Amino acid sequence: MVEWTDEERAAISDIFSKLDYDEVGQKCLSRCLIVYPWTQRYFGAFGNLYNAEAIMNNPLIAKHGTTVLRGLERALNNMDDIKNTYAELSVLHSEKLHVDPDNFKLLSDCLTIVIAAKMGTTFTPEYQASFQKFLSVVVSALGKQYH
Amino acid sequence: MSLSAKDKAKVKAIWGKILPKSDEIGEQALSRMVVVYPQTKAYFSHWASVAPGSAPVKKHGITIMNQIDECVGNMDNLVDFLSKLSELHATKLRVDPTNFKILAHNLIVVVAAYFPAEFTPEIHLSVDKFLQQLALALAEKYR
Repeated sequence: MVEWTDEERAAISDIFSKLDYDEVGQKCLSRCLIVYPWTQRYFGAFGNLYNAEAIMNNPLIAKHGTTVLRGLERALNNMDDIKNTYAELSVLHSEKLHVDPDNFKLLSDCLTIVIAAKMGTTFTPEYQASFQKFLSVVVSALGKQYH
Repeated sequence: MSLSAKDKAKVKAIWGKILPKSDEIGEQALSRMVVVYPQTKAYFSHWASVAPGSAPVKKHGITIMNQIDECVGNMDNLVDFLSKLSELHATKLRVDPTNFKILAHNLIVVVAAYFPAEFTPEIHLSVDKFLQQLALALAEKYR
């Protein structure tokens, strides 16, 4: 089981409290699709991803960004058992969506960067450490059911 | 994933903003690296301190940023330009190249924090490619 210090829990809660899921979700997912274009392979049914502008203005991508952030909120609310909380999601990503688990890390890096842009230097090194630890637990849980 | 003319232009553009705050940004990036990825401290056991904001961290942040600055001016031939530095990293420092990715990530986090409006996804893409090319050039002499 993952051990969380009080400081880590506080940092992660504080960060989430500052997030507008619609805004951050859209920014994070579109940044991932632009910076790592091969990730677009999973979004064939999402309409126009032809260039950065199209991606940034794509309403289906924006909607999916919100979905991803809501998913992360579930992990936030179940920090002591993210592995089991995400069991179904892991099966979904593996068996139905066939997402290469390396992509989870790419998206999580983009989320870290979007949050850094939002919070500026109030996103301290300690906050970054706590948040990246949270994301790495999430990424690991998402990959757990792959076989 | 080599650098197009557009990539180079974008890197130069954002670098123009980064340069005046280069010392601070270098210090921030290095501090984050040792805090968020504590295993990287292994390379700095000879320093008096690895604490964020300490003198050795500040000094080394400046050293790194000065070198990256020169790389921005030599994007057309990074491998040749970094030949000696690559030898140093290969034979003397022997830094595992995974760590170049780690430092690049932290540098990008700091740049995003300092320039949220300017560090658009397209600029991010070009900077990511540039730092990746830099890392490859730095690892060129490893084996």
